[in-house]
Amino acid sequence: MTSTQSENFNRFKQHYEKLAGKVYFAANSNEAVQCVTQIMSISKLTKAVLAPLLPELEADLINQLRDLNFPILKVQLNRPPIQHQINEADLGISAAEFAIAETGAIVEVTTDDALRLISSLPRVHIAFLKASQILPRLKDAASLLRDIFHSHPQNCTITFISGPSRTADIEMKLFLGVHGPRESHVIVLNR
Amino acid sequence: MKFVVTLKDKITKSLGEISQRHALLAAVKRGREGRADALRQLADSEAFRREVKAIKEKCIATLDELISKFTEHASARGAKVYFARTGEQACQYILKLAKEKNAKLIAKSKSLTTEEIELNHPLERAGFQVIETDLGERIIQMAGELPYHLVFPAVHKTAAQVAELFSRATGKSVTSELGDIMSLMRRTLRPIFLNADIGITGANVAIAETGALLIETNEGNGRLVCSIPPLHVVVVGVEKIVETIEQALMMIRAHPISATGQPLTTYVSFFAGRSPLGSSEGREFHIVLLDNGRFQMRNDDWFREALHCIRCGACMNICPTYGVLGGHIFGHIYPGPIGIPWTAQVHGLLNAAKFTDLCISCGLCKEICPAEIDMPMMIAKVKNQILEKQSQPLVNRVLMASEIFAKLACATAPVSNWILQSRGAKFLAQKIFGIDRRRSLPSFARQTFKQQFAKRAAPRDPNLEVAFFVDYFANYIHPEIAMLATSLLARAKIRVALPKQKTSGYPYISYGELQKAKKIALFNLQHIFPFIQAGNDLIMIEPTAAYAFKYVYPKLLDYSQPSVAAAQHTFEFFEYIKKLREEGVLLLPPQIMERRKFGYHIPCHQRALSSGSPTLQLLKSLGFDVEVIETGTCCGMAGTFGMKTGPLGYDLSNAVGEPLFEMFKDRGVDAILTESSVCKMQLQHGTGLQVLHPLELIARF
Repeated sequence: MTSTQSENFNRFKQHYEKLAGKVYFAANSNEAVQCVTQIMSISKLTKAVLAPLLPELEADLINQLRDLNFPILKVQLNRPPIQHQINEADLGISAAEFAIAETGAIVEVTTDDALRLISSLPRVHIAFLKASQILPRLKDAASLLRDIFHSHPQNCTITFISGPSRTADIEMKLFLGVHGPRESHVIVLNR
Repeated sequence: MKFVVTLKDKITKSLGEISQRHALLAAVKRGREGRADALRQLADSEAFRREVKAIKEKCIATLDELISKFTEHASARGAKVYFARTGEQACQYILKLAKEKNAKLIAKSKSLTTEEIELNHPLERAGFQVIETDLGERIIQMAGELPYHLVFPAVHKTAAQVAELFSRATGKSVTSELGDIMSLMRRTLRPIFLNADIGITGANVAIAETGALLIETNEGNGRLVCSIPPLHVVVVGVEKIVETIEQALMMIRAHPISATGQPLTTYVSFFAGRSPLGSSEGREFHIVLLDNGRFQMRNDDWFREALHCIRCGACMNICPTYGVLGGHIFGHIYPGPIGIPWTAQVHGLLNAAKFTDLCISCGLCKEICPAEIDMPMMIAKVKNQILEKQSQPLVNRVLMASEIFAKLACATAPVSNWILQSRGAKFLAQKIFGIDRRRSLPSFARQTFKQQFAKRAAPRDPNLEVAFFVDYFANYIHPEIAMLATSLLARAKIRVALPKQKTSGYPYISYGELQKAKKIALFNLQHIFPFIQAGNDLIMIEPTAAYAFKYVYPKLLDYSQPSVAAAQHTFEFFEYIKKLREEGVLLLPPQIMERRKFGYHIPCHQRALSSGSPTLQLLKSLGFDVEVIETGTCCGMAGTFGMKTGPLGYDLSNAVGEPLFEMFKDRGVDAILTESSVCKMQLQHGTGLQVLHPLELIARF
């Protein structure tokens, strides 16, 4: 990481973790995969569902999970109802497009709602994020968002995610994971 | 009159529900504190508010253009955009859609706008199963109630009550452990998300530039409601449309900061066209743009600003009476201060009349609003419109006419005081006029300030001349305070002019008598404006008077030149004195011998002015041991409100003030300082402590 990237990483980590999320730095693909397997074992996860990731990382991850006998749920985009398939997984793994350090948010860009379900339905969500893609401030996102909308003239959904699903609707007591993930991990890649 | 009676009954019942009141108080306090913490993190919180206001102003001004731009861009992305003139039209459109699709199950995510048009009723009547998926909304749906608080809709329910509701609805037993309730909630709502035929949501923002809609949720239910079902319907008020992505980013920051102090809501989704779900096609996206009275609001100079509301609920978190009573009483469908103009405009004046009297005109809603909406004046206008339908209660008329009475009482003091303080008179005042007999009425002065002032010696060779505005209490009841003020000015060789004047007339605002308030404003300005033209500043000791001159008169008089000039030249007394002392014009010796510890109370109207900071700085620089003691909201007196007997007066006034009284008593101060004459009465009554005007400390030599 450059010094600016490191500064952005630290700010992002500080804010995201204040919102009950977890942020890790992985120097290479191997470290990233280890991060995932550790989370799977600590959180006693049994089934993972994967969105498309960086090809090299995706291959490493799949191999490693296979070696450890963690079942990977292959989502068959062509076989409805897809939501029921994804709902069987307790871990969703996907890639974030960018992140905002100032507020502690990752930003997901999708053109298929199945990919959104990967970050919404399972009990635990892990997002991969490139260190170079952490923006210092929210307002820095405007031109990026504009470009994304322009490059998808038909449809796209952009979601800012700031930690796990939360509610305080009963007696104002904080509870995580009421509908969406209870755990929200971000693995920042050295890129 | 009928409404007033039912309102009073509701207040009495609510005041007795102690655990509910504690829960609500904790909720509003948390909202306020969260917001304050978040604002402290921002470089410039006032600039933040100005920016939000500027965006909303601009977007509402160009609304027609934004609607067509948004429609064009959303349609280009395959959305079907329907413009509904009324709530009825919106409901019919959605009902027809649901029938066409042969839908059975409809999942909803929290939307105040669908509550506004009461969408669930026609859908349920037609046999559709409609399930609210936000936890708080689900709880009140099961209970068959309306939201108690905007951000925490079910804050009045204990975990045990929620558990009971869930087990009744699901047929499964559940303990009142939070984890158990949540896990049952997750298990029972999951099939709803997975199998719903239609997802209905509101939207927090719509972006004209891209045709995208924004939905903010913390639980993530919003994402599930709109990503799975084949049909997604969004109901969005036209006032939510902004022009650019930059403006939208400002809004998603403003909402959570103002509501709870969160930096962003956990999930903020931008929908720009509907995406497929795997291979499933034919997924539809319908956007219902709702007018339902919004254009009428936009064309009304008094109510246009209500469209700037971003629905954060901050005004509810600071409103003193809402914080005691909650949204079931203080609201129709839209609750709280902003709920008054919104209800009047979209649900009719009669519905607004059910709770408008709960506004005690403290003005705090405007001070906390992220869009700086002038709710106090808007509510005064609603009260005014209600007066055209039903008459002003006698007690309000008596309290508004108190200046005539005070003239007489002063002229006949001390006999008048002796009579007024007698138990018989208090009994009759309560019986006949509705003034609570537990209030110790102040003694009227034998000589008013105006009479005393006419006899005093003016300073020779004055450096400067200022105009002085005295107002009710310092003229008729405590002329010695006003005399101390003018003598301090004289000591700085400032000649004090006393233009012909009445009181500020603010009680007329509180009770919606705008024509009478305007008449007083015109009278005062007619006599004071020549002094302003001659280059004089206008000094006043009563915060409510300064508030009236600065913010109320200009609005009442359509920002006429005299009203604006007077507003610009209006100063609070201590603002002026602090400056004079710092310039070396006024010599005030430090008073280190003073050993007492003082608690300072900021009157609500002063929060729109200086929040008392010049007074505090001056007192501290003179060596006084003084600290601000505050709950952040009102002491409960609210001008003449607390004088009235019964639930809509004394009872509610004390319920509002209690937490503040406790703070003053717990802090162990020797005396309370405040600049407002009515807060003084309330604090004395509520705490039993001595309450002084800061002038009584500073100017006693």
